[in-house]
Amino acid sequence: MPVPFRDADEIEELGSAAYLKVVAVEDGVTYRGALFLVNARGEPLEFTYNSIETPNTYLWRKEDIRRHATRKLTTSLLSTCQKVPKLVICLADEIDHTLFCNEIHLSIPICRVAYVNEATPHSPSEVQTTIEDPQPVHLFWFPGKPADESTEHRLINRLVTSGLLLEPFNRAIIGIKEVYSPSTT
Amino acid sequence: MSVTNAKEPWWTISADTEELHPRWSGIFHRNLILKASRPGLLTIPQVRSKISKCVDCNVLTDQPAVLLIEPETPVPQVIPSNSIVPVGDEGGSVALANVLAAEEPTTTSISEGIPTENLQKSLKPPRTLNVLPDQRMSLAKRLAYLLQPPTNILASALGPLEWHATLFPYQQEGVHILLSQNVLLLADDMGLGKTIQAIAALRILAVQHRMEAALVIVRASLLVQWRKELRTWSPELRISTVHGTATERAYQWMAPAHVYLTTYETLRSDLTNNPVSPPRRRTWDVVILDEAQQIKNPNAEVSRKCKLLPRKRAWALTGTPLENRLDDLASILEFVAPLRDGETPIRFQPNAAMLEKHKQLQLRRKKSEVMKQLPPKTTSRVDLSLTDSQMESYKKAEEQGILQLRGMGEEVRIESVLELILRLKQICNFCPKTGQSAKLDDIRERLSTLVSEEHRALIFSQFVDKQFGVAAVADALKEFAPLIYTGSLTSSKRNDVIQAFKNDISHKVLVISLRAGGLGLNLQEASYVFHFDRWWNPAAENQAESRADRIGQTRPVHVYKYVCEGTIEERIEQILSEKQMLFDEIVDDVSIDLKTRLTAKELFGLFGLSAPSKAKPSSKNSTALPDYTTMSGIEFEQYVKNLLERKGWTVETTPPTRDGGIDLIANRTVEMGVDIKLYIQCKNHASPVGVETIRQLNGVLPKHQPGSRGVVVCPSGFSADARVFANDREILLWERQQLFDMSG
Repeated sequence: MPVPFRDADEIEELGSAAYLKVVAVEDGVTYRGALFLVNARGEPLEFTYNSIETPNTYLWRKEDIRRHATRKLTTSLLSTCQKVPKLVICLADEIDHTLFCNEIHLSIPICRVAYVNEATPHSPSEVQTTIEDPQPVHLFWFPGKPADESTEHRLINRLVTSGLLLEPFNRAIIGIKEVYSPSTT
Repeated sequence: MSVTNAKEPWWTISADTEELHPRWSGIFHRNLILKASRPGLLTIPQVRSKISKCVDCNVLTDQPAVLLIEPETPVPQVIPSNSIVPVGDEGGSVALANVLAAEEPTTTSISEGIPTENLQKSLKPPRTLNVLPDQRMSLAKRLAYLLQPPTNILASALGPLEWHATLFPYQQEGVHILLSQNVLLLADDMGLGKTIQAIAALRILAVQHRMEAALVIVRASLLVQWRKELRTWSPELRISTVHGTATERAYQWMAPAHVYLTTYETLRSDLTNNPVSPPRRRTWDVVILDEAQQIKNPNAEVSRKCKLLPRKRAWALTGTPLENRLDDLASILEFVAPLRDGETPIRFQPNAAMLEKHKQLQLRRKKSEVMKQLPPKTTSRVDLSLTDSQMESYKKAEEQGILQLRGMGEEVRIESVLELILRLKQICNFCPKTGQSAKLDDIRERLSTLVSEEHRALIFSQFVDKQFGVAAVADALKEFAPLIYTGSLTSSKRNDVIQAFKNDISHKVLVISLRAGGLGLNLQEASYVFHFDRWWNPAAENQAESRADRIGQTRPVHVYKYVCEGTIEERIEQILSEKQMLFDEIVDDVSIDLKTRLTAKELFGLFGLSAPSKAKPSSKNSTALPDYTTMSGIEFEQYVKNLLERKGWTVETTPPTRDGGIDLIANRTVEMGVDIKLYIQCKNHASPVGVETIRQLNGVLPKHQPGSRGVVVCPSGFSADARVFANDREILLWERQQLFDMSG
């Protein structure tokens, strides 16, 4: 019988963050996505994954297809995800602001992360903050930045100070690769 | 954690979301037809959720569904397929450790001074694994491992795990190698933190769910130290210390824990031929042997039993893997291998093949190699258990002392408590009946290693006598040709001792009376300092350590401070830590100081007693003290003299015109024959005394007289510079409160 850790309550209280990762496969028609839930210590809690194929056709603009595929992927991932995270974190260069500002409404804060040296389109309804350490990034919050004393705020702070703001995206990629490796499929 | 509530979904699709329109919809007018199936979900089990297996997992669908947009096309596999796929047996994580390690820059953090090439040659960290897929392991399980936080993040000071202190780069490297090598002989030089590296690796394994239970086997004298280090460096982990009576041990083996900590002796008792004897009942994820030279004799019972432990990982820690013969090394290496249940331990013959194996299994860093990473001085607190006879004497003395204190009723004095403390401190050094000493055992063990590495050491004690102090320590360490430096030596003799230590390297140890040798000596020849007993005075201890840690020292200095578990040493240390007080002067043979730092309640509380009303300081009552300023100088001296005499001191008044600044000389012989002499200057000024008065007394104090202290008494207090000056020279300052205490 596994033994619970001694700090379980504290970690439990902060809840989880969901990292949304979408990967475009090199064939240009397949998109793969994962919603990776980790707790405040970066431990994995849940990994939801899916793949979507788009028509290889000139009927739709490539950018439109990508946005549409991302929305469908995200919808399927959210519908499958069993736990309710405290916040969703995604990369601004993968996820347009329209996805969560217009198309999918979440009851929890969304945080899109962008490197400061990249020009990132964002919605006027998003709230922008900047983190300098350990690496300078912009955070675009929708519908707004969590209140200072809120659990969400403590969670994102903990993730940032622990070097976990971006690192779980790497693990999500590893997970996607593993799921769709030839030996698995 | 809450689960999606069907009535109140936490996400919705906006009603006005537009569907994707074809570019030329007017011409082609094609509809999007979705053929959806359920996507995959992997729930990573949490240890805290108390599920049945910490590494197993639950998948809703074996194969993830594919959401298609027509026209349907086959799924191409163009994501590079050389992704890492773990291999290994279903029940274990041996190969998975390598898989995880392959994702980690196991050697990228190597910094200057580390013999990187040798390490890589010998250890071959598995960085470039390209292992074949193993279908025996489920996708869910593979993902459960692959999605754990990487080791470099976990070991980092800025990572999600809070570390007690930042691991040095060579220590981080050691942790990486421990995690990537299931078997390792960690043979770093003493003082480089083998224990910490092993604990850090255990912690990371547990957090990554790669370990359910580990067994750590240590010398009995280090059990307390290991427990403390485990709690400090892996606070999340639950520890079961297996030590005590057979009944207690039976429960301790059964207690749910991540780490089972036990001794070689206990293992020898509890591991029997019965395959379900507690240590053999499970296959340990990790077995660690601390001071692995304990199993150097392959024929010893404890050696054979350690090697019988079913284990997936085997880590041996020792600073001296090869003490005398190659057979010793062979015996240790026989342990450094996994052992499945039912298998027979391997045997090595001391030959070339064994030496080659040794190269592959050993990670050894010398201090000289990592010196640039080390701070100039490292201080470690060593927690020890008293030996059985010491504990027996200690308990007896404590019980008797408490009875005596209780018997005094309301007449009990704080000084009686202080005398009991002094007595107990002495027993913590040596058992008065048998002469046994846990501290000495530990020092002897450490010195054996240090001397082989050509280090030399200073040992400080506040006691000088042959039973509990410097003389006793030196007598017990004869094999290291110790020299003694105490205040009883003449000036020329002291000089001879210092020169002998500096010039003759056969003297490995210098045992010093803290009071006599704590100041002024240059002893850079030594790089290890042991505080045999605690002065509880950081300034005094620092001064003593500075004998070795000073300009001209070419090596890092390591300081060890001993604290005996469950004794007065530990209790006082704990109170002082809680109060976060910096002690200028504290209980020593001049025991008056302690009561200026601890309240009567705390002092009596050390022994579970309530302070009698007389002993309790009260600010209200202190105002009822006489008005000292109305006394003449001689009257005030007489007043102080009377107070001291009531407390059992023999007080001599110096001639008024020839006192040289000293008004009273107070003598007292406390229990155990320690003589104390106070040189007292009395000032009943209306305003605080300045530094000049303290300087004057300091100038006339006899030098190098053990057991003597200077005291300045002034009810109105002292100026700040007077306090600093007195503090530096260990001169006691008594104010109104001290006088009140004495009058109680």
